[in-house]
Amino acid sequence: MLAAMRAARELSDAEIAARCREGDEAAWSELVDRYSRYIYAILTQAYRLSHHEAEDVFQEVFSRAFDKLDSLRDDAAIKPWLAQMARRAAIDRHRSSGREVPAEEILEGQVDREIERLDEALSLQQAMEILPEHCHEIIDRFFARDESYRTIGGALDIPPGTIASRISRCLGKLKDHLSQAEGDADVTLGRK
Amino acid sequence: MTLSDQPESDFTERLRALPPAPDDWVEAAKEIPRMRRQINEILPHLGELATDRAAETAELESAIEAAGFTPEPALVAELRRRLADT
Repeated sequence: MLAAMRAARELSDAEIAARCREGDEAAWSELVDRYSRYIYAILTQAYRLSHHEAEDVFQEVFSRAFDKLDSLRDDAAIKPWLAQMARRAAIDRHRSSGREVPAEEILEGQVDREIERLDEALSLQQAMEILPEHCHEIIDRFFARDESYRTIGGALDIPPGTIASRISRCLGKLKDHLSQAEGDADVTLGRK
Repeated sequence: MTLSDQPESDFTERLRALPPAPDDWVEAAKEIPRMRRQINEILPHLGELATDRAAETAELESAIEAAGFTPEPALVAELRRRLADT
């Protein structure tokens, strides 16, 4: 199973979607790993659902995604497809809660901007996947998990005094990867 | 402005924007294929409950046990979701 999970990590979104449809459970796990933070952020940051509501809706989104994979027209578009499903489910939850919420068009305008921000964050997250494991780990712990130098040092068995410089070096690598990826995209789009 | 050109503060703000979802939520989502297989085996044991969207939790738990499975909360919740969709 571990080998299957490692192999799944190398797959594109389109390949993951196709394999999930064929019943490949390692691919399904990878899909959940790849998008769980994104869906969680849409529900809790863009739609501001409570922890309890978000838990229900989070499961509902993945449950519906599992059921409706056959209706996904473009396998490469799994991210916007999941985001749309999360948005609908969050709006339904707001409506059923009976809470007073801003007019839908105002709410949706704010949500569009928020999701744009989360899309960028996800691009960064995905760029982190190609960093060396030690860099991925230290950046994720410090920025995403908000762990202290002391906690990180204890977990990774490195002196807390060296953590700031390690983070700085790893951020530099991350920026280099992003610049390179953006350069490649420009070439593909004929911008250079 | 591309992501790599953004000031350090924006860059770090983006990195903080996606904290991990709670581990138990992620694990439950990964279990969906297994839950589905179990629910497909439980459904024939539901009898009249299969059309009762407001079925009591205790009734669902009994149906799950009758099908030979442990009525863990995630399975009961998934079964309830399935009934709500029918």
